[in-house]
Amino acid sequence: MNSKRSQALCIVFLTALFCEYAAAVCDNTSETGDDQLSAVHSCWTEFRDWLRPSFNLQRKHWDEGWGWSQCDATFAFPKMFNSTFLLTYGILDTSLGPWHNDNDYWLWASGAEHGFRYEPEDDDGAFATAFNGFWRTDRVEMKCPSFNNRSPGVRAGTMVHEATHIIYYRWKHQSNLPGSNCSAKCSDDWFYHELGEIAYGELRGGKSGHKHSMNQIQIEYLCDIAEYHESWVPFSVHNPARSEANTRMTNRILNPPGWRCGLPRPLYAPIGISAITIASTLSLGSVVEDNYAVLVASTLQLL
Amino acid sequence: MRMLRYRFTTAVQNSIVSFCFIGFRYVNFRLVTAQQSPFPSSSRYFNYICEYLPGRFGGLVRVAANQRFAWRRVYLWGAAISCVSLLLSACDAKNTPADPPSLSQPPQVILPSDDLQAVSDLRPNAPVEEITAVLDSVLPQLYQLSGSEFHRGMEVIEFLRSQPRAVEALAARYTSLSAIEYDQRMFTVQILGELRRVDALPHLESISWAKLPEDEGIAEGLSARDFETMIQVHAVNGIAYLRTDESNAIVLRLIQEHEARSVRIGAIDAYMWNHDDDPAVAKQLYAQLPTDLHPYVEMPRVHRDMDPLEFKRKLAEWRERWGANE
Repeated sequence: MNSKRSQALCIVFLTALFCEYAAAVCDNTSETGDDQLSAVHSCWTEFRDWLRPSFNLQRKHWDEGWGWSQCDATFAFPKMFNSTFLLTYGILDTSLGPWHNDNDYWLWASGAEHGFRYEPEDDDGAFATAFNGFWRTDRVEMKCPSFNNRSPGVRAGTMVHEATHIIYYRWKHQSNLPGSNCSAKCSDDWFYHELGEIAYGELRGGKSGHKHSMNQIQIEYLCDIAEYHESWVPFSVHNPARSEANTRMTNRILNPPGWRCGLPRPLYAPIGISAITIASTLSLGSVVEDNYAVLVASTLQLL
Repeated sequence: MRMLRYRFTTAVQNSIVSFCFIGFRYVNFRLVTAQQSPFPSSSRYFNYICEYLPGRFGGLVRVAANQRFAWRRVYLWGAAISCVSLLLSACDAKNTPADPPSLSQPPQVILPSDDLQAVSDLRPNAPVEEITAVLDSVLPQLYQLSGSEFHRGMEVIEFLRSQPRAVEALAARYTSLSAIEYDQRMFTVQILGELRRVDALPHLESISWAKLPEDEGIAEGLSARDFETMIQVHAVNGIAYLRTDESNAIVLRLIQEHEARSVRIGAIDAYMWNHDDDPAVAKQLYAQLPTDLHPYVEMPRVHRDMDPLEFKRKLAEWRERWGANE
């Protein structure tokens, strides 16, 4: 009897150990920004093959209904494709303007760079959740609200936010200022730096890098994609990013850095780089030295 | 004596296992942070071990710990876990990723379709139904425009402005959208504001004063309240953009009385921008507003057309004045 019971227990144990349960997936929805961006990059396979290991999106998590090999932007994986594409190429190269550049942002959000992976999760409780696992691998679970009614730019903002939780091991949010929109602990400190203080390409997370809190790096990214996006970025991507940058600045930062994102005009899309920006940049000799080609390109764009 | 020796032995075993346990995990952490793990994170087998074994062994330890007479098994499992923990040090180690592929050619800019023409083709003084039908086809097109093509969208809005019943059609569209279509609702309010028509004022005012949902306390996301306030800020931007005495009075009331702090701050920003950031207007606001809103009166803005040096100067001034309140 004991022997049979032991055998049964063994079977149960082995089943629990090796069986993978088929999980449900989030609803596949059509989002304007995703549809547009997919048309922009046309499912560029070279980039797709690069993003999978670089951001650490693995087949065993993103297949089976999540769209691992799909180009159809209603699936979750192609939506991640769009967000990583924006992180990697979406911000205009200028000599002075955005807080950080493409290279800074994609490296910050990269799972391979920081030893975690992105997984999809059929859950409506949050945009995403970061887990620093003692028993399980560090991971960011991207949840349904990140894929439904959410554009790729703000989704990319969520990625840099969650990556920060992991980069600074189990960094939690703090209590909010009175009057903020969030009653849970959602706020962060702002680690101030001036515009241009951190050279482009020099932002790094971790102890040796330039510390940014979760909401801070997210706000900086959202404002950069809102105001300094490349010409191919659709309005449906940069417009929500600006609003979210400002609402997070107001509701989720304990010590506001002293600026707002964008102009309070009802509707506008930033185009080109102004002559005054170029004139100012010219006076920053040291910065310009390395960016002459970019400056010329900006000038040509203006013309 | 025998019992004492047994207890001593188990205590030593316990200490050794615990030490190994913590030590291996520490080694794991150090290896990963120092990027010196000998195993690539892409290794399928190590990822497999990482994913399944730890949770299962952890569960077994908890089960064993509940069986008071099976302490030795706990230690045995502990030793096994320690070994696995060592293996874990290889899992998902940091790997500096390769550089992204370079864009051999710029991504394709999506050109607007001829549907945009439909607005300019509307007959003068078109009825609401006709405008609504055109908006249904044109607004999604507008929303998709690339930055470099957005001037086409502004042309469409110019044509729309000349239609007397355009405001009515847009207001009806806003009401017909479902509550969770936040982006579309926001866009509709933005167009309503950009029309810069006095007859849009009651609609914009009604949106900006709409009762907000309760906060849901979502830490890793935005709540319905967050999204609604974002829409209300756009409505306030539309009101302030009218730049009439009536609209200015409404914005001032919103600054002082609105229930959401983010809408009050957005209203201050819009009020100042529509008054060319005039220091005299700022002075009036300082006199009228509670002190906790003073830092937002002359806050510099990041935007593409800004002069970066001028922005840095203004920000430095702001921080010198208000930084002490942080």
